[in-house]
Formats: sequence, C-alpha cells, structure tokens
Amino acid sequence: MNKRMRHSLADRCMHWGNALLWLLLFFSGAGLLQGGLAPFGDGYTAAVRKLAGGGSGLLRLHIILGCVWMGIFSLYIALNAKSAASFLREIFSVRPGDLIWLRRKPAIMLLGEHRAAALGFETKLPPQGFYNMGQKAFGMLSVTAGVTLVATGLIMATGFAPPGFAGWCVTIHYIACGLTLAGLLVHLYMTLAVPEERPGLKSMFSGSVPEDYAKHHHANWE
Amino acid sequence: MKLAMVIDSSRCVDCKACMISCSTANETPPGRHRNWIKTKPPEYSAARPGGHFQPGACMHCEYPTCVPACPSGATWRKTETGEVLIDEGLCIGCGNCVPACPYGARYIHGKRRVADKCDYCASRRVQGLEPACVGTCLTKARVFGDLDDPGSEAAKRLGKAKFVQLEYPGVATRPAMFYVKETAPDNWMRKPEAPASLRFLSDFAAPGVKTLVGLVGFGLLAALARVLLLKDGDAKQQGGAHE
Repeated sequence: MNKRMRHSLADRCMHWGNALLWLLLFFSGAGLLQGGLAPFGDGYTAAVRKLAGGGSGLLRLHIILGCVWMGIFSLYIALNAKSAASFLREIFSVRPGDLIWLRRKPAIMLLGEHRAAALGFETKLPPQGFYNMGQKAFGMLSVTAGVTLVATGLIMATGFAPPGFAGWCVTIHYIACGLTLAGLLVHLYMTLAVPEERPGLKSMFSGSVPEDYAKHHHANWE
Repeated sequence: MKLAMVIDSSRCVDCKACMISCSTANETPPGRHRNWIKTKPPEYSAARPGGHFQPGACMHCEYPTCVPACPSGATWRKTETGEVLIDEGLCIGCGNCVPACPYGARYIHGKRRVADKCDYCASRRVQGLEPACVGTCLTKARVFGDLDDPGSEAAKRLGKAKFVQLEYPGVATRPAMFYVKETAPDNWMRKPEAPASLRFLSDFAAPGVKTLVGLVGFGLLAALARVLLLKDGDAKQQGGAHE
C-alpha cells in the first residue's frame, strides 16, 4: 500500500510534547483552584497540593511546566518556521464547503451515516483539504487559547499588570483552558474511538498515512 | 488556641506609634499600612464633645470575606489559632481579596506583587516577641494574646468586660478584635465586594465552561455508544463516503 508523508518528525515531537505538557498543566492547574471553581472538587485540590509539597509548591510547578510548554513551541517555531507558518495558514483558512462540512458532520457522528440519512439529514460531505474543518476548528481554538493561556499566565506569574487586570487574567485563563478541554475531548474521541480515523492516529507515530485514506478523507490535500 | 487583639480604645491618644512600629517591623511600602487609627472628631457644640480614637488592623475574622474571594486559596484561616494568613508563594496578586475586606485591611504590595496585611507580626512572635504595635503602645490601648489562656493579657482584659466587635451591617464576620466597653467611630466599614472578574468567573464562566464540557462529553458518549452498540453497516461504507 502506498504511503503519504503527513507529519514530519519535528511535527510529531511537538505534538506529543504539547500533549504531555498540556495534560500536566491541566491537572496541576486544576489543583490550584478551590471551592466552587475547583473542577474536581476540594479533595482533588488538597491531594495534588500535598503531592507538590503545598499550594505554593504546586504553583511553582505549574509555572515551571508552563515555561517548558512555551519552550517546546519556541524551539519548534525556531527550527521549523516555515512549516509552523504553513500550519497556521492552513488552519485559519476556511474554504468553500467547510462550513457545510461542519454543519453536517455532527449528525453523522452521533447517528451514524445510514441512520442520519434515514432521518433526513444531509450526509454528503464536501471534500476537505490537509485538515478537515473539524481539525481546523480545533487548531484555531487551541492556537488562540494557547496564546491566551501563555499571555495571561505570564501576567499572573510575573505580576506585570495592575491588580484588577490580574483578576481578569484568572477568569480568562480559566475560560481559555475550559474551551480547549471541550475541543480536546472531541479530538481524543475522534482518534481513540472512531475506527476509520485509526490511520490518523498511527500517522502521529509513523508520520505517514495510506494513500487511499488521504484520498478519501482529505481529497483536496495537494 | 484563640489569638485575639483586645483594645481599650479610650486609652488611645492617636500618637501613631503603633503604625510606625508596624511599618518598620513589616517593611510596608511607602503610603501603605497594615494598621490604622480611626478618628471620631469631637462635636465642640455639644456639652460633652466626646472625640475618640480607635486603633485597628486586620480583624482575623472567624468568617472572613477575603478567604472565599481568593481563587487559589493563598488566603486562608488557620482554624487552630484563628489567624487569617496569606501564603505568599500561592498568591498571584490578583487583588480579589482587597475589596472583599469590609475593613480595608488589605493592599497589594507593589514590589512583592502579593496581598499584604497584618499577621500579628508572625516573624516577631517566633522570636517570642509581641506584635510590634502592641509592644510599642504607650498607653497599652492594644493588648494581644490567646483568649484560651486565662493568664494572657488579652484574656485578662477581656474577662467579663463588655465588648464591641466592628461589623459592616448584615455581614457577620465575627472579628477576633475586641473593643472593650465601647468604641467609636463605627460607621467606616464598607460593603465587602467581589470584583467583577471574580463574579463573572464564578457566576457565568465556570458554570458555562462546565456545561459546555459536559454537553460535549455527553454527545461523545452517545456517539461512542452508537459506534460500539449499533453496528449498522456504516463500517463497510466508510471507505467510500466519508471525508
């Protein structure tokens, strides 16, 4: 079977580094919130803080992890400026048919193609490029939210802002993380639970996808 | 142990030694103070003009309004002693606690970028010293100690005396600062307020984000159940039709 290169080694390293750091940041950050804001409750918060040697230890760890996260991206951009730019160009360009794709896909995911068609949903999906519109939407979300998380995180960590603004940084940091989490759930579902997307998951290890997968899922990929 | 400050405000002569010694001991930035003296100006037209000075500081409330305003838990109440403390390593200087205090006892330390307030001079107490304001008070208007220890200055003064706790009307903070007999002024407290950013976070953003994540999760579980339980032949078709 013919293979087609999809993700360079640098892309793959960045993806898995990002994945690891994002999860570590999420679970350490969740332990920094308490009361009604604590996503997993005060018990989780207390347990993680104990693990990190107290609340201040956890905050320090979270900030260090954030710096490593920024470091991964800085390194990736420094070494792959061209592919980083083409990634951004790709995810932020919405082409004709993309919005139709986005409208039709959820019913197919929920009901299955046959049942969706039987219930009167339109199931013909417009051809997609290197990324489909769902992937692009998650890309837009995670890039925008990532920049927001870094900016608000830096302000909170350094105190480089008037006090009232640091309060808003907490709120914005929370929202940016929550929206990314919602997108991440869909991302994880697509890769882990949908059998037809298995080649996509494998390509994040091997770098390449089968030619017929590329043709069927990303017909406009040049 | 129940740490408290017991104040006989009728003894206060407004010398401000407590404020100066506090600023020196705790290196508060210029223009900022951890403690204060409020003044009720005399009414000279009255038969008894009755001016009054009232020393104060963080009241180390039993039900502090600053603690729930802190998103990270840097501000907390030590139940064993009743102290309200700030974990500076966990404080991000967001400033939510500042308007949440009805006494205006907190400020953001410009250099250290953390909230700051009276901690009963914790660094002095570990050396066996009294809080600076208490040690320096010429008229002994302020005394400090453990109310559970009958031998402490605070317990002796409070004894069975009548006392006043200052509270903003309707906000039962139960301060650990007792004014024996009576004190004035009693109208300077302000309504504790959660900043707009915190209200927006806890009233809209957090429930909104939780609902969104929940809905997405629920939808994906439904989709997963469909994939696992209902095999409707799509699998054979997928190679052909899907994008």
